[in-house]
Order: sequence, then structure tokens, then C-alpha cells
Amino acid sequence: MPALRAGRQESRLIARVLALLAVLALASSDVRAQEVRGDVMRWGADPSGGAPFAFFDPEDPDRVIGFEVDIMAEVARRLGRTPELFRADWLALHDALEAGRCDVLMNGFEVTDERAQVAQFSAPYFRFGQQIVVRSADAARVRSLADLAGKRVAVLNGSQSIEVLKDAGFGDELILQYDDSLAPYTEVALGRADAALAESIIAAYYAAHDGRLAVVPETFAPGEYAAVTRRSDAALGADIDRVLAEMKADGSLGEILQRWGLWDDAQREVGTAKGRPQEVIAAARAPAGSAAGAADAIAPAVLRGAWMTVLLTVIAMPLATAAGLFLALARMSPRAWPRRVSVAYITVVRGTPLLVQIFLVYFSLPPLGQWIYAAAPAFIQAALDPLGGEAFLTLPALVVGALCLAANYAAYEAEVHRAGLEAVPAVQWDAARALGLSRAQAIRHVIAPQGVRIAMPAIINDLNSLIKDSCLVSVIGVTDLLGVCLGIGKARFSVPEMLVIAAVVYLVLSVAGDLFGNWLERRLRARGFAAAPAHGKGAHP
Amino acid sequence: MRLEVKGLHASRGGRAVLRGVDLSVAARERVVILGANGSGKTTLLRAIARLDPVDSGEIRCDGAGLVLQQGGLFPHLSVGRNIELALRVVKGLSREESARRAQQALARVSIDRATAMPHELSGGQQQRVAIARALALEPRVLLLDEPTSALDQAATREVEQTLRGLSASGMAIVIVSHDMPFAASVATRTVQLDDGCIG
Repeated sequence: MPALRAGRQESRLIARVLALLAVLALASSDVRAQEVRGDVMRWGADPSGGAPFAFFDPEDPDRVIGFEVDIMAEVARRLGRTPELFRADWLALHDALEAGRCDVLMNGFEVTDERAQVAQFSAPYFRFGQQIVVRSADAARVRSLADLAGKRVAVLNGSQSIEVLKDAGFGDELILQYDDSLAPYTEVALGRADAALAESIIAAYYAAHDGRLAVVPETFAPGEYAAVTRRSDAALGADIDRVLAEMKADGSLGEILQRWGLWDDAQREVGTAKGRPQEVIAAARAPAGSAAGAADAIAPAVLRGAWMTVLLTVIAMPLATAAGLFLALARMSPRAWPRRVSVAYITVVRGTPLLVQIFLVYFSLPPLGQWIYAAAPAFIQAALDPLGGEAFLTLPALVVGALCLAANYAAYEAEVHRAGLEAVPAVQWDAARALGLSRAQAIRHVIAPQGVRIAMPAIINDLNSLIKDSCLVSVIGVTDLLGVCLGIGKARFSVPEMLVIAAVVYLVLSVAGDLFGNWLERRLRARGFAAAPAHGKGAHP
Repeated sequence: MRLEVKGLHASRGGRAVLRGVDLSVAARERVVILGANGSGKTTLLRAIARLDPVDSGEIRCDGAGLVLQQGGLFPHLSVGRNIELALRVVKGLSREESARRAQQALARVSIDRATAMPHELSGGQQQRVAIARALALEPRVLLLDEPTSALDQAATREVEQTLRGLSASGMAIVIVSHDMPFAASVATRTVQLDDGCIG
């Protein structure tokens, strides 16, 4: 039958597909109910930070392994709880803890006075020293920090090494900060930095295997790693301290460190007994060989990452398109307040980085939910209880990520829609009004359907852009295509190779998006709509 | 009288366009309004259809159906849906009743392609569908703005036949046109609009 009915069938189909995807999204992400279950201990770490703390297993990138994974498993076991890893960008972990997304952090957090002001540290579980790594050619010249005066030194972002360098008189311009453990060494090998400074544990794993680099033997400025809990959660802090003390005394902690090749006599200074002698496990040594040589191991993980990227896109883009249409209509309203609200939204959202929006929304939703719940009358609280009670806004990272992408792109789609709506000929308005349609009826039945069709090429263009922008949600722990590829790349020392693989998969997804767009435009043209001016968001923001 | 206009004044953009227009149209009449560009012809039609406001004067009419220049069909809706839209949305009729009335209206202009999209029709057919769309709302008078401006001779004759048929069955028709041969052929009466006044 005619177009209207066909259109309705299509929208029903689209609605069903969206509902299915939403269900899949929820099923494939963390289930919220677990966050309030008492027997689960959610501990936070950033597996993309690198080995040997908690990192993606090079042989099976779906698994996270590391000496901290083993320690946490034993701590949880002794407390009668099930450990569950909460993943987020390392710099976001502390906020995630405070927001109640996890109960404890164990991921190379160095005990500092500054951090002790805001968080509660456990007893230390590892003692380390700072260790310098230089290019092999410089090995004979550099024995200590004093030999590096005036040189550029690469460090891990947010690490204790920065303070050590500052205390030694290095200026900010000489301290190069990177987001993961591997990057400082890569920079030294490539010559962009003269030396790298990091904890001995990192140097041993990442630099020792690289023939271009030399590890300076002496360590200095010792520090300690400890678990972090909320200051308000004194009970858990005490539990962890008690269990760690047991593990140090009975040798089980020492045995874990031995298995990871991390044992040295410095550990005795924090009270850790060596325990029975242990063999160093294979995973404790950096793997050799390229990522491409392990295609069987990495292909499933890369495909799952790609699926996550597809999921983010197909949830976010239809939402953005619909919300953008409402924003555009509000902006064209004859009344002043919808126009003002719309312009304000578009201005703020387009004027701030998507990355910042994702971070802020992810960490402000849980406290906002608690605040709303506390302020709400009893009947609303009762309605919220099945949704998680005061944690009703503690949504899974995938959902928050998709919503942020949708909210951000809505601002851009609003402008695309406005261009489309304004391109609808004035005679269409006259015809609708001459037939007696109200302004709202004219928009709904006559103007918006045509405006959306006119805007379609620009919307498809933005779809293409969104596929790639979706990688930003990896900062809140969503393991999308880029996140997975970087994780594998770091674990296997093949970041450039994995980036090429990621680029190829993005290209495939992008071409698929374009083919979908071409198909859609052909269909619209077959119904008498010419191609419209492209006026989209265009390139990466 | 189906339509009575008395002392109508209207201005557009600060310029007085209609300056005391009087016009009466009875059933079965086909009145063609002639006039140079800018003489106010379209303004008069839009005022009668209540698309635009007027300054003063009186318009008495129980329901005017306006057919815009080049039709103004909705390109995203089929011919049938073009007609059904106002019946369902404005009049609140059921889907079945709207479809039945759309079929009737199309029959009056001799079109039987309710499922076609507008762009699949010829110019003359599109103009007749636009007429059917106005007729479906059962107006007392039918207003047409330059109905033949984009049509060839054959299509112009189609439209003329349709209009003659409608007035034979009682419709009052007002046409604004530049097309002198068409006007001379279709009109039962012509009036001249000069500088905002009917001469």
C-alpha cells in the first residue's frame, strides 16, 4: 500500500531492532544488580595501563591477568567474597571509587601524603624503587638522575616518578608524561625522550626485553603500593588490612610475587615473607612475536570490540537524530523560551569536548541519583527501588557512553535538521495551512518528514563520524574496538600493528555505514526526493 | 452568494496591496481575476483562504478551498495520502472513511492512481490531484492561483475540463491567471484587478 503505511511498517521494524539492541546492550554489560550484591567485591583497575599489574592476557585478550589480579583474588577469597574487576581509565579510578562504582582499587597506587588526604590506603603490598631506562648507547654514561640533568625524561602520567624528578630539579618542560606504561620506553627507543623513569617493576617488564634499551641497575626513591578504599568505608579498609597482614605473614603474598618474578629482598621491609620457592610463570615474561602471528588469539577479541563499536553507534545515532530533530524544531519555535533552551544546549554541547562530557556525566550520575533518591517522597522511592534504589542512576558504562554520544551528536544533528527543515519549500507550509492543519500538525505530517529526507545525506555523513568518535567511551572502561586493540597492542608490544588493524576494521565499518547511507538515499530519490546540500558535522570535532 | 468580499484592504511589507476590493461570486460561476504582476491577485486569494491577515473589510464565505500555484502536493505522500491527510488530521475521520472520500474526490477530477507518488504524475494530473485535495474538504468556493502556469496546452485543457465539470455540478470557482487564452476560454466572467482595486 501507499507510502504512509510502508513508512509505519519500517518504523515499527526500527523500533523492534532498537529494543533488541537495548536488551543486548544491557545483557552484554555489567548488570547493575551486582553492584549492590554484598558477596561481590568490585575492585577497580585499568587493564590498558599495562603489565604486570592487571593487563589483558596476550594469549587470550578477553582475560585480565596480573599479580594484582592474583592478590585481589586471594584477598576476596579470604573475605568470603567474589572478586569482580571494574575497568576504567586509571586517572578516573579514584572518582569511580568515590562514585560507588567499585569498592576498592588495586592498581599500582603509590602511597603519598597528598592522596592519603582524600582516600584511605591499606597496608602496602609491594615495595618498589624508581629505575632509569636509557638507550643502549647511553648505558655507560648514565648511572643516576644526576647524569640526566637537562635531558627530557618520559614518565607515566600521574605517577610518583614526576615528584621524584621535580625534587631532583627537573623543570616541567623536561618531564614528558604518557598515559600508559609502555609509551615512555617507546619514546626513549624512538629518540623523542632521552630517558624514562618509572617504578622498577615496570622497567623490568617493559624495557628489559628491548635490545634498544638499557636498564640502569640502581634503584632509588623507594615507594609502596597499597589498596585504596573510600574513607567512609572503614570496615572494608580494616578487613583488607587484616587479610593482607595474614598473607604477608604466611608467605602467600610472597609466593604470588615470586610467580610474577617480582620478589626481591626489599619486600621484607614491608613485612612480606618469601614463602615457599615458586617458579616464575610464563605470563610474567614479555611475549615475543608479533600480534599478526597470533591472529587466532586476538581475532575474537577484536571482533567483540568491533561489535561494541557497532552497538554504540546503532544506539547513539538514532537517538541523536531524533533528539536533534526536537532541538531543531524548538529552535524554530515562534515562542522565545524553547528557542533559548535549544540554542543554549547546542552551544554548550558543541562548545565542550566530548571526552570531558563523557567523564563528567559518568561520574556525576551516581551521586545525582543518590541525591534525587534521598530528596524524593516515599512513593517515588518505592518506584525507584526495583531500579536499584539510590543506585538507579548508576548505569552501566556502555549505556552512559551511548547516551553521551547521543546527547553530543544531537547538538550537531539539530543544526543538520534545521538546514533540512528550512530547505522545505514555503509552498509546503502554505499548502498545509490552506488545508487547515495547525502549525504542529504541519510540522509533524508535512515539514519534518520532508526536512529529515533532505537532511539525510548530512546525517549519514555524521553517522560515519560517530563510528570513529565512539572510541572516546573507552575512557570509562567500555572495551570498544580501539580500546581492545590498544590493550592487545600494549600486552604484545605491538601497538603500531594493532593500530593498523583497528584502522582497517574502522574503515570496514565506515564503508558499511556509507553503503547503508547510499541505499537509504537511493530509496528516497526513488520516491521523488533529490539529493540535498550536505551541511553536516563533517570531520572529527 | 457563495463568496462576498466588501471593501477589503490589505498591506504587505508596509505597502497597501488591496485598496477596497469588492467581489461577489455565485454558485456555478467561474470568475477569472486578471491583472498585472503585483496588482494584488495572489494577495486577494490568500486573504480569502485566510492564509494571511487583512487590514479591514469583510469576507463572507463558508469555506474556501485553495489550490496553490504549482499545486503544492506533498512529495513524500502518495496521491491518496495527500488527500486523506487533512481528512484524518483536521476532520478526525477514520482511515476507511478518509480513503473513501479521497477516492470520491479523485473520481471528480478523473484520476484513478491513488497509490502513485506525485512525481510519477504529469503536471496536469498533479494539478488535478491538488484540486481533488481541496474538494475533499467540501469547500463552498474553490480558489485557484495560476493553475496553468507550468502546464502545456494539453494539460491546460485537462484542467479546464475538470473546472467546467465542477461548476456544472454547482461549485463556485475563482481563478487568478495570467494565461489570457485559458482565462477567455474558462471564464463565465472576468474581472480586472488594477493597483489593488477591481475596475
